[in-house]
Amino acid sequence: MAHHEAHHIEISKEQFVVPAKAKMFTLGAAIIGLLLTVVGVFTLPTDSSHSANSHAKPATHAGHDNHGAAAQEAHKVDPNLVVDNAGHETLFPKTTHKDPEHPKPAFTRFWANLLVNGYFFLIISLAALFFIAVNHVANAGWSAAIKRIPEAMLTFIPVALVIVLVVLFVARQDLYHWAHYEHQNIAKGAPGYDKILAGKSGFLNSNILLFGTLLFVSIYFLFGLKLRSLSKKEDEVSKGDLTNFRKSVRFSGAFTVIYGFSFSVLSWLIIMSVDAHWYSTIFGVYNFATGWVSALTIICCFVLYLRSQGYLKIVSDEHVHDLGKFMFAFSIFWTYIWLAQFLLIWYAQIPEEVAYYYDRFNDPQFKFQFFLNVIMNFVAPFLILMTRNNKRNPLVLSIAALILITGHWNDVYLMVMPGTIGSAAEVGVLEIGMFTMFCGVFAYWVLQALTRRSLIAVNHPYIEESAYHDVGP
Amino acid sequence: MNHDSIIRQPLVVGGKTPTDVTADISRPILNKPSTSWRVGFVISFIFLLLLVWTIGYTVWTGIGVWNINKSVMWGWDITNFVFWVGIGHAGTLISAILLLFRQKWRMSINRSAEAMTIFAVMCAAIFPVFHMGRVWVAYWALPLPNSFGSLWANFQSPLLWDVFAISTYFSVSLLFWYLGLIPDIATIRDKIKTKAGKFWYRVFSMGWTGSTRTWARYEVVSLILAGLSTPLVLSVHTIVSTDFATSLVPGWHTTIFPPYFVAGAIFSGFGMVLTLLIVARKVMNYENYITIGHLEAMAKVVMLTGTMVGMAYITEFFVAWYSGVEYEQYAFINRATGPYWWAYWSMMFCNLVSPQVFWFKWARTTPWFIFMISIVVNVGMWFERFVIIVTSLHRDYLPSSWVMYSASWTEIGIFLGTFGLFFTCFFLFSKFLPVINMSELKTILKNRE
Amino acid sequence: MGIIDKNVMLRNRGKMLLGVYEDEEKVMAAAKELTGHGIPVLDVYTPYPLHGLDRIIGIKRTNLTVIAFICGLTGFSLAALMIWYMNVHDWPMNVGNKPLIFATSWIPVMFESTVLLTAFGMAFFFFWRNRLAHGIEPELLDDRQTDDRMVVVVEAGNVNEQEVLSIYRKTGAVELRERLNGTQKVVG
Repeated sequence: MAHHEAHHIEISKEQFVVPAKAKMFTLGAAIIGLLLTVVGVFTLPTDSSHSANSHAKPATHAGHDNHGAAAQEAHKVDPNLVVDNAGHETLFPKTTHKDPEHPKPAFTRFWANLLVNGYFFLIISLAALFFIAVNHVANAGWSAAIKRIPEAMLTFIPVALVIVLVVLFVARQDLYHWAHYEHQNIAKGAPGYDKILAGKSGFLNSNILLFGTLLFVSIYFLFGLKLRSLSKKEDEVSKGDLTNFRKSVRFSGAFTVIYGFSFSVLSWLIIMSVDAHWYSTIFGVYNFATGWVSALTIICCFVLYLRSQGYLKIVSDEHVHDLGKFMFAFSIFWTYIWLAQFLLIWYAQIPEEVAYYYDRFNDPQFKFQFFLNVIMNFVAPFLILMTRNNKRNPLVLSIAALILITGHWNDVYLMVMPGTIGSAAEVGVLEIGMFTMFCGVFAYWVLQALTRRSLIAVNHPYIEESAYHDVGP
Repeated sequence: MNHDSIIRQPLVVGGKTPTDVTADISRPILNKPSTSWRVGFVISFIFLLLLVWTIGYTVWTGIGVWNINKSVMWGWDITNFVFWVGIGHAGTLISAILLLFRQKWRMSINRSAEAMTIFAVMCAAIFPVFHMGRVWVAYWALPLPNSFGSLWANFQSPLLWDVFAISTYFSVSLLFWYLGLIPDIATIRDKIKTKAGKFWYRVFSMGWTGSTRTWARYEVVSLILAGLSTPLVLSVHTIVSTDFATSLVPGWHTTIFPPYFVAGAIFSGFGMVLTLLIVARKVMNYENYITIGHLEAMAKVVMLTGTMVGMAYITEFFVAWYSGVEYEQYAFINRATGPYWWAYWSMMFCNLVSPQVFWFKWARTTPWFIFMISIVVNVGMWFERFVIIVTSLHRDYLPSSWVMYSASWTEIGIFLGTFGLFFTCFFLFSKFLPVINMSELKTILKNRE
Repeated sequence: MGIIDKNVMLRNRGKMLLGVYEDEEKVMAAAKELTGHGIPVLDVYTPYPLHGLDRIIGIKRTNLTVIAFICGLTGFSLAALMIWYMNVHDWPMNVGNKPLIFATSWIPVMFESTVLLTAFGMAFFFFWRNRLAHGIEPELLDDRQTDDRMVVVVEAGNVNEQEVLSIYRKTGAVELRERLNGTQKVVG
């Protein structure tokens, strides 16, 4: 407060023009990413080289026999028994190994990656929309100055939706064990009949997967468009006209409830069903936490970038500090939810549940990334963002942001890969390339969206409050 | 300089100055207690005596005077424990989480909500302690060298986590509350005329003078304590939830328990805060400080957390079906249609349906109506714990262990008695300490919501 | 002890000039005016915190966060050590055939004791640094400074006393006083 009181803060419209450098950089990243993806796809192990293996055992094991040998020995004996490292028989069915009759083409890895990235950027764009809504509902003042950034981010929802839908439409039988099972259409009692999957078919079926996803995300996006247009209208009417603001609050309330109730279902449909036999009631909250903390991080990145280019004049270190606090706090929240799921499943050791972590934690294939997940998404941001000075330092914040975004990508990777392609998964040229491409496209898309309206919502009723924002002691 | 948006409502109405705040808030402390205070205190004290009597009877005769049995080994006792711990959570939420989110409306209510936290945790602790049976060896729960062998406490046990969580929560909440009280105790110290009053308020004010140097550090300390209390309050009910969720009992072992218990705790806590404050603001004439705006904000929190809890009920039910595990499926069908169906549907109605009335502006701005809903919420959250505990336990894997459970008069007496303890403490608090944080409130007299 | 901030103590000081105010904005103006004229403000006594005043009169931000961090680290390590000693070293306890050293089920207790030690350690140092202790005699300058009055304190000696008093007067003080050896005299 003290350093603001001395002067009056001018609040005026700002028109953003994407600098040539930014265009070059984002499109460059997209193109390089695309090239790497193509290279990655062409250097995938071809199906023929695997065919010998595929017949003997699931293709998901191809190429990594050294670590999974013991498990596969047992697998031949009984699909529900595996042998742990010490050689003791345990009762952990490996969910990824449930499907010995269904060798997956190597190209599945491409689709799995597309699902990881499409879903990751989908939940980020949705969380950006949720950010706007929740700030309206909570009457938050501080964020008014930066609200145009999440407004731009939510325009990515349809892009991500189309990508996810294409994956689900084309490749669902390769990615989802249950979809393949549905396709096989095995009669009750016939060999290969799976009582559990048959019991779930009222929810896990292709119609609900495709139309449910389309319906939910379209509804969210309509709310997003409505909030965007109300916000734009507010710029055009006279200051003090609260009609648009009041409408925004009402739409935000409705959206918050709808999103809260349906997002879990969306995450069950698209991601939890990857491990078709497994279930976890907290899964939706966990996915929300991932998307939410990533979206906050990306909002912070855009604020830092725009400020470095001389835009967002009313945004001060105080706002950046608050965003840093959000990144810090919600990293801890994410860890809390992560731990709640892991601790309870690890502790109770029920075979059908613990199989999920058996695939991730005990499998050397994913063990490193499993620990990396906690280090990148909890330890690193916790230590880096603990002090006040670091939260106000753009360079430190950018480093933390980079770690967090990559870390949460890794998080989604770990949710999808073990259940879809199992031991054929690795972080190679394809993965790095596709993630780079998505980052480039997303950044370009959002920068373009930012040019379509003033960067400052000059008529927002809380804009003065936000301009004079002070984080206090 | 104040830049609050004009569309916000004033936080304190009636054009109060700092002088008025001191006068209004310290009046009950400086004056003789009112008749309504005396009556309320005596009634509470009678219930406190009931607590003493029923607990004495339990300890003297043995834990067999409770109706818990081999299958339902947790009954009213643990239900009440979780109920009271949950009620405590609103205090920390208001003072810590709302402080971090800079919700200034918290300033009129945080003091009494924090006091409530402390008294509720005291009530809660009674239940597990006396459920031990041989309460005189309760100290065995502490990580002390066991004199009966070389065995130490088992740190893998959620019950031991509870010992740590509840005692840490109690101590840190007490510290946070006391830290907030120091400047106000100093104010009373400089106002009170009686000799004993001068002495005791001087002792507890710790020589506070209001130096800007001290204030600057004080605010940082408050902020860090708030930052610590936030994960602490989450951890407490999380750990309470792990008492159930780490087990293999159908209906208990579900991963959403931690956040769902926390949401439920905040929900029930706000229910109790509303119950208390709607009465207090009327009786103590604090309508200018605890305005309709405050009640409305709290009603919104009740609606939000109630919906979150309802969402968790539905999630659990759906995932039980989705899991394909017949025990899980049975546990939930049995909850809704078994012998305790009335408890389940009371819970559903009170917690999920009733808070939805707060979508209507009239409902969340009418004190008597909010008061009624807050009672419904309190009842509903008690039923929630009863449903979780008793319906899951009364059907075991072995049908020969299937039993019914209803509380004995001793168990009911202890539960009613804890209300006596709670309200006795609250009445004493409202007589001897300022129920609204004066020094904090003085900073926002010109502010808006 | 060295930990106590000497600036919060008023005893053993020479002559002090006090400006008594009843409005926070006037206090802020006075503090700005005084520091603007190069007059150091010893302290301002207020019934409630005035945000930004600490920065105006040049109070450094407290290092209590560092102490909090150290206390937290201590609590964390002590708990880990305790659990390791009790459940691994002294009496290895096999529960459900879980690995003996596996932090997952240690996390709750380690977390709680981290919070406990951070909170109490920090509060302890806060009390110490600010000379707050049970039963201590408060050094009050005005019996309404915890109610509705604010007292600006400047140490006489190296400053022009008339200038200080005129700034007090100009910025709207309701009373001007001098304090010497614990006794006060109203000067305007």
